[in-house]
Amino acid sequence: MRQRGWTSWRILRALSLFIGYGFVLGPVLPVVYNAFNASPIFPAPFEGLTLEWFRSVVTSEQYMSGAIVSIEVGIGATALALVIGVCAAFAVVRGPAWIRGGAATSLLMGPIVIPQIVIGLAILEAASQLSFRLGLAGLIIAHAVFVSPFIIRVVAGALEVQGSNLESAAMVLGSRRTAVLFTLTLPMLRPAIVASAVFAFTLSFVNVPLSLFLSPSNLRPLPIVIYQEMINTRTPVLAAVSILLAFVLLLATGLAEKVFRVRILQ
Amino acid sequence: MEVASSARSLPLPLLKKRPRSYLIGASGLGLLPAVLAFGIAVLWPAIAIFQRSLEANPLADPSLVHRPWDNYAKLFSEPLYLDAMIRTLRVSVICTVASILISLAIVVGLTAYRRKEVSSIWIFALIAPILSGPIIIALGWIGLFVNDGIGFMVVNAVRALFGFPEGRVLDTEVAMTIGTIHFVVPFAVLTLYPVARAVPRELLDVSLTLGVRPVATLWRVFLPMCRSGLIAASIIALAMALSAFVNAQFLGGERNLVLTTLVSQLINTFNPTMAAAASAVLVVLGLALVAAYGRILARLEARRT
Repeated sequence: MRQRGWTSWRILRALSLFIGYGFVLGPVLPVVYNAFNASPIFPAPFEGLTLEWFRSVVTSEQYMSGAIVSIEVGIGATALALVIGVCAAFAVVRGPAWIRGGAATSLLMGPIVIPQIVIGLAILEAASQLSFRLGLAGLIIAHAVFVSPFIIRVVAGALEVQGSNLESAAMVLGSRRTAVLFTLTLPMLRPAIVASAVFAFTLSFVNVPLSLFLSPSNLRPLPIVIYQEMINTRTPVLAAVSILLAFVLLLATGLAEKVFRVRILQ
Repeated sequence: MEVASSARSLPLPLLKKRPRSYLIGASGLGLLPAVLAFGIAVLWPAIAIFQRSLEANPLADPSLVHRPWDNYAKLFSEPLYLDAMIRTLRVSVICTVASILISLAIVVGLTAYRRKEVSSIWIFALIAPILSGPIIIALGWIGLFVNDGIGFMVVNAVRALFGFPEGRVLDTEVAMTIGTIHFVVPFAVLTLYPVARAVPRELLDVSLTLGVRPVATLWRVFLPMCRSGLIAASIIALAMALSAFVNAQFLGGERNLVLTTLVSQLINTFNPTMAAAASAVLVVLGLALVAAYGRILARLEARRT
């Protein structure tokens, strides 16, 4: 099918992809470049290669303890969000009509429409009403509620696609409902559950606005540590730590795709 | 949310009305943990913050009389706050339009007229900014926007083109708007891409065989088929733009406040009651805008069909 107009279309497509991807990935360049640049100022012209900034990240106590807090919050929030999300996915796909309509939509859109910084502040206010010290629990529940829509979306999609024929067959043949759930339905949903869990963990790990007001000074997740450093100073160490953070998370996502044989990025 | 009845696919020819009740999850009780969590972490805090917004600032002079609506009156009368609200609206509308255009360019480039699906590395590159977090992106934009950075030169070249005076870019509304667009684009693409990918290839082929040029086919056939995706993506984009925080904080500086950064600044200056009032306004604004936008789009849709 070679007709008029293909050349102009090819040029248009190449141009739009180039500009689009340039815009999306452009901001990464100065960070990478300054993380390896010997100059102690961010950003600065090239002065030579160094790994000094990465060394100071790895030896820094506050970054490492921040990473540990982030891992704890991420695991807790992912586990909680999985319970919320997988249960809700069943209701969203198979529940009564009112759930499949309005309730599902507000469940999926709610945490996206309400700004995260407001959710963080509001949870703080609610806890202070009861004079309750939040600590890790506040961070975990805030993150869990925020990431659960992503889990609901992915798991509900998979549940929709896989249908209920096999389950019906198993039940017709005399299987009990709990047995069907644990030996058939959930194992079949495993790719969706794993993929959405990895995505949820990552979203929780990098989050700033939710954690901002919920992190007491002795319990700051890594992004909050970097954020507060960045308010005061701009050094290549910040570039190095954010590259390490991004690199580890992207690597973990890639590994999870290989190990669990799932497609996290549909 | 398109959720078809999964019971429909059941091979039960003897039953006229197929029962759903035996299916696992049919009772809808699965919603319970979600409702509980939302009640604890969203609904109750929302009420708490609204109550707080009616109180007087604890640091204020106790002899002054405080009426419940005073914080809101202040919010809608003092220039600093009004300014932030108007800027919020302006930035989020610009961001919605711009991010839809950019993500449309990307999605069309990735899907239209392709025989095979693009490799997943292309999608991964788009999601990478989400997965690596807002901090690295904000740092990157700072690196681009400092005086004599690449972004600085590009913005000033565009300014010169339209006859605006050149000047600094970092800590301006321009920088903040660009940063917020960047934050929104991946989410818009993720919403749009599945819809664009599902457009049947044959329809485009028919149009091309009938002699319509590729670009015109794209405009007349491909884009109309993506409409539902465009609508969903623009609603998501609007909501994300309203709630964008990190880029606005680092690129807009202290003088170009939007509502999210205003909330943060009010907390930092020990004014929790005003922060609560600003938060309440932000939430109401977000819900109202998204609802109104959804209605408008639904009405347009109804008029077309």
